[in-house]
Amino acid sequence: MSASEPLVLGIESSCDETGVGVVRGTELLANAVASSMEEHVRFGGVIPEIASRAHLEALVPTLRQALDTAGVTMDDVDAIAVTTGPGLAGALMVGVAGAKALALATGKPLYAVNHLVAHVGVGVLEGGELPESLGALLVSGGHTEILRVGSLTGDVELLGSTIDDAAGEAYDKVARLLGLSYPGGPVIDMLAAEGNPKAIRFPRGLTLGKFMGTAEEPGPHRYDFSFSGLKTAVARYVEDCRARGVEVPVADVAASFQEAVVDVITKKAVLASQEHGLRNLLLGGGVAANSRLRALLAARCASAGIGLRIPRPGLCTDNGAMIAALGSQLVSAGVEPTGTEFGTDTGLPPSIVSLPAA
Amino acid sequence: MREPTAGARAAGRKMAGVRLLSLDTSSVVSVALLEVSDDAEPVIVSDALGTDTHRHAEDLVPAVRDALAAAGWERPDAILVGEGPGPFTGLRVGLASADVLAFAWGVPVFGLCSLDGLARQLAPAAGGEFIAALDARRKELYWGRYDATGRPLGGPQVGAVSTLPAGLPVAGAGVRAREAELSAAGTPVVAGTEDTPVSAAHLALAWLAAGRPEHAPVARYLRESDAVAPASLAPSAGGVK
Repeated sequence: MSASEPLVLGIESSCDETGVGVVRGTELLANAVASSMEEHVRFGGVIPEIASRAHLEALVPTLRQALDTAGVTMDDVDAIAVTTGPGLAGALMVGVAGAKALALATGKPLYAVNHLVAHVGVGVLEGGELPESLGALLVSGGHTEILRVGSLTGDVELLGSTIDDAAGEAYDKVARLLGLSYPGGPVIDMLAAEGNPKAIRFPRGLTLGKFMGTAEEPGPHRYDFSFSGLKTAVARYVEDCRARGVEVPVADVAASFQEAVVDVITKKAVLASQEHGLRNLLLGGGVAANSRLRALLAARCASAGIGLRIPRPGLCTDNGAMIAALGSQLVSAGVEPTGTEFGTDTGLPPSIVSLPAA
Repeated sequence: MREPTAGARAAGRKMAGVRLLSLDTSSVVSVALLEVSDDAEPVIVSDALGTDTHRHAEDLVPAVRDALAAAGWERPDAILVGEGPGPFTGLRVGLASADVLAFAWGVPVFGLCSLDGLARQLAPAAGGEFIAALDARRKELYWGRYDATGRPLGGPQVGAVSTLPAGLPVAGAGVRAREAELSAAGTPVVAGTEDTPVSAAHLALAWLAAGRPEHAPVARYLRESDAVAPASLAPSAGGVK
């Protein structure tokens, strides 16, 4: 095995994407993804059992596709990595079972890795090694977190997270309220471009002084998010329009809602970075594709003198390459593999980058 | 088919047969290794049965590893997996593992209804036509109808005790799970089988008795995913546009 450029296969199944990626060092060789998103559309959100069934169907075909694309066989692979959490229990279990079976059959070492940290680790596939003094902002349908990344393989700290809905989840729920399609992110982003973001002043969750406190004496939720009140405010606004027989100004609601989400996320991410002396920020997760989030974050990072790194969209959404990329970093850092005795952990904190051997 | 003896087990090592890995996660984690050939009785090389119904992801692969190591097999020649019915999450651990093991080893994988294995094991105790049943939770049973030799006559199905064919005794771990309902309905049970889960060894024996059907595994969920489209997405509710 080449310690500097290990060939690692990564498996991801924490939500509705079955992903298998192959990475050599920091070079991306394959990123095969099968999504069950279409099957969730009529429900307006991910249905765990449907996602889990789809993972089982897609697992081996996706594995085969990734190896074919990479032009390697399992014999060539140095190690296997798999998402062990956080995520949906039934969904995680399919990938974990498959990865353990693969490790047993091939005798390759297996790393059980953290999904959130892998969203940061994927950064090495574009631009190589991650900068020092790094923070990460992860925004997706299941997550909204700010991390301090001292070392990708051993020092990750959760600075803030949502206390209720994830940002992407809020987009889905608001899209449903407005009678728009699932997933909500892209369609709201598109409509928002035609609306006035200042038309309606929707609440910014957890931004009051009692939650924020000061840098010296931080409040209980200085870097945390809440989107459930925002969702309720949008619902009330829409109901009120209907009660008054007024047409809902969909574009203005979309733009104003999006502004409320993005304003808080970017402000708190920059604040956390500044107060922890972090000079670089990586944006990850499916909502990283949102145009307003990218624009406002770029502007606020620039004003604050923070370097911003955003992997390309296909690497921001859930995928196996990010799991492989983190696995490769763990191998290079000499971290011991997990073995095959572990289970899934739906609430795995980002401070645990990979599970230790049992 | 008689049960393999110690002598047959020893003789089996010299047999040029097919080495079969059988696994089932429809109830507990169960892993068995068998040597099968056309001209001799099958030999059960090992048969491991767990006790926990919530540790499939943790325990299955280590159990396979340990069985192979103890038998001194590098890999089997074929894999058989129980297709359920059984609680979905655990069931998928067995199916996903079997699929990937087969892919990585380059060996075929076949599926068989898990209840067939249970029935094969419990047929002697039943002594006649009977129902093999497993816990389906939600006050229901997964069940199938079998003859006195354990040959399937109908099923698998899922339903409450009231939906079982009248008069047939019920056997298997489903009995313990629905003890009160079975008793209230006056349904006869096969004594001594109330806690018996699916054993991978008997799953393999059922597969051999059925003529080694070679179909790819398909999860037998028997229930839809239970997802309900929210009212706001129903066509009648309409959008605001």
